[in-house]
Amino acid sequence: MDVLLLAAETSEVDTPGWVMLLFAAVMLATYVGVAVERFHKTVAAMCGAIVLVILALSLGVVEEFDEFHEFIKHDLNIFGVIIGTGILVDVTSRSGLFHFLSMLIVRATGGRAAALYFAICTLTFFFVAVLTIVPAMLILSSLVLVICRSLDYPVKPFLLSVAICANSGAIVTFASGLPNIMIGTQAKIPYVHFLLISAPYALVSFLIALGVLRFFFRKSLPWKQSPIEKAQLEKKISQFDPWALVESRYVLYRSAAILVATVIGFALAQPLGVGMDFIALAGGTAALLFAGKTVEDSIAKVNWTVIMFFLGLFIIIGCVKEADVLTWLGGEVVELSGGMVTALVPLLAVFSAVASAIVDNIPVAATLIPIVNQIGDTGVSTEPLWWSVVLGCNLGGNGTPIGSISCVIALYTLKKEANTNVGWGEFLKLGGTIMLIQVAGSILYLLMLYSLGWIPSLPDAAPAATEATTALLM
Amino acid sequence: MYEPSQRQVDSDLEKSMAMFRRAEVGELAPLEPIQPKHVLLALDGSEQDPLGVQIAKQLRDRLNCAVTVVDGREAALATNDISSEFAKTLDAQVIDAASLGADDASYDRILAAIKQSGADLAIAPSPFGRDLSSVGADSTGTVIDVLLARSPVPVIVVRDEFAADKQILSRVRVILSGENRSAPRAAQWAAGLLSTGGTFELMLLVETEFYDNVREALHALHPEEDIKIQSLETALAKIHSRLHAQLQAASDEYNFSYELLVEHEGEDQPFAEDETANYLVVLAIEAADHASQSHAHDLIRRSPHPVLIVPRDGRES
Repeated sequence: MDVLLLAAETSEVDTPGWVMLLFAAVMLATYVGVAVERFHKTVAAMCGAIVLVILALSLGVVEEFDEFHEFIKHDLNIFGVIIGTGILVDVTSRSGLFHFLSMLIVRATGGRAAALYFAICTLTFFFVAVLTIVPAMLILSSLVLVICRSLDYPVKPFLLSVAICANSGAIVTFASGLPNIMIGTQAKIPYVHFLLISAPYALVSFLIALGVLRFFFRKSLPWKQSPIEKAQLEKKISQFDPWALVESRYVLYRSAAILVATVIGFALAQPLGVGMDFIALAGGTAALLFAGKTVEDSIAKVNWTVIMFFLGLFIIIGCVKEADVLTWLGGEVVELSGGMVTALVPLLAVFSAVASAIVDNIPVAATLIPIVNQIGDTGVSTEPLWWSVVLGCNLGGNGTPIGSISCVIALYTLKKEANTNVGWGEFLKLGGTIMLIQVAGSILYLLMLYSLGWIPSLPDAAPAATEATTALLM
Repeated sequence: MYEPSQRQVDSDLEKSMAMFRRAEVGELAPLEPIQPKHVLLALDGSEQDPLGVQIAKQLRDRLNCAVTVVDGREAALATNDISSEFAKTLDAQVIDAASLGADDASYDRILAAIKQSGADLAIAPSPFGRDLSSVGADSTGTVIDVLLARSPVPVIVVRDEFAADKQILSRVRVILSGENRSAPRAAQWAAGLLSTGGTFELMLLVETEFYDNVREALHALHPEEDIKIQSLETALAKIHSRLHAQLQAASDEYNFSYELLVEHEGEDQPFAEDETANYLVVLAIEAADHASQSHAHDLIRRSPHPVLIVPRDGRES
């Protein structure tokens, strides 16, 4: 362990302290700008990037302007994944596939409160896993509004549950959320590893959320209904015909086939020797070719503002990294934890969860990625650390009303469509409790997997770690 | 996670809710196709006659229906026999010209022939008895105007732009631009004429002029409000959601592929596809609805395909 501490101490930090402090301050100021509503997130990130570029060039932290292109070059694959999956999700959503499936399942519940509630929560979990949070939330929020109004159920328990279950769905696969995509591509985590490590805990965290939600809303829904009530509900729900919302069955079938093929492609990307970005772009192109009726609209639906946001963010991280701030921070983290995985896992999980609940999980993930890399350079096994960041960044969203886009959409929809306000206190009581249990559970889960040796090594991480450790020991 | 703007959430949420609401159609039986038992082919001695014959032949071959041929020209112009040869090709009966009013106009002769033959579907060229190349897209002709207004049975209007050798019954497109009580009837006819395994398209078309009118009216009442053309598309889809659901069910029952197309009028809409495509356009008209009538006239003039006009319920015999 002393060797690891020595490694942290001897890590090369050439930049003067005041420059490091200045760069860290600009980065923190940008994150504050991202967190407060006064600024647009993308504008805040781009402003931070411009300020740091000027500082980096004028203070000699970066010597050539072309070096900034190098910062972005390594992240182009993330843009490819965002563009490809964005197109694919838009085309499949337009086909009515997810609307159809959700209506089919809702109809199968017969409209009974308990069955409907658990069906909608389960749909949320799976839809977010496939579609990411925003499109899934829009589909499920609208489903909740239409069905609750038709069956005279209160909207609030359903919408809040959807918002909270969405964050469990976001950790199922590589493509379920932006932090996963960022961490997965940077750390070269194969898609299958997500299914082995984060997906099982996604299910556990979903069950934890369901348990707490069921208790919290024990008096809010008619959990037990009489046979007469059930018959009336059955009659009402049978008025909905899932096929009536499908414009073309062939487009629907083709969209489903392309989506399944893309998911299989993600799983096979590593053995095939191609990147996730290639699979995503191939899936997006196939969707436009075989199922896209409005090509221009679907391309326009790609979240270009998030790409601009990432652009700014990656420049900021690159500059801060060049200024050795992250090297120093990585060293400090190793020192604080004594280089022990058993300390680093809870530290990173708690930090990423709390920070994500307050700021936004994308800059949190973007900042932690180079720090975890830095920790890895000291010989610490990074695999459990990556997973603690993935789980923490996503589950932290349940902590506050602004912690996750699912909560933001749900609370906004509740206010606008149901004239219902959910205060911070009420949300913290519900979401905060769930987040605490889920994050604590994730720490125990990862430590258990680590101690059992069940966390698979990353394709090229294990040998690198071994070499680094060997070098330090010598 | 990155947040979309409130406006974007509002818009996407509204679209998604509209989609779900469209599913609330109640319990519906599949739409039942209507097939003709007897087709009347009206001839005018023009170059368009072979096209009408071709369609009548396709109908007879596919549906095994009876065909009757009538020379629809006014008596003074009917100096030669144009019916016998075509009737032989079609194995059809011919209406004796002497049995029709000697001084009657062509539309009266055709209407009388429909009554006399007991036909439940008529085929007539447009413009009737005139050279299409000189009239062009400016007129459907008086005979067609009157037939559309008075015919008790659906009429297939033939214009020579379409290729006569193509199978038009393998694809039908019902075009609706607003509420129309004849729409289910038109869809039943369209499904009845469609070949087994064919393609049925229900096109809901928001016309630019209609959108402009709604927008201006709304703006006059509420200056701060605006309406997007997509909102009218959503409304149109909602209006015809029951018909859509019935067609979905019918596509399974009667083995055809079905697609709903919700669009707004572009430069070439609703005929913006490949020029080699051939299909039957189907329009529904209501006698008291001037908008549906002018819509039908406009589309007949512009259509490069044959057009089936289906009148309101109750006018058919």
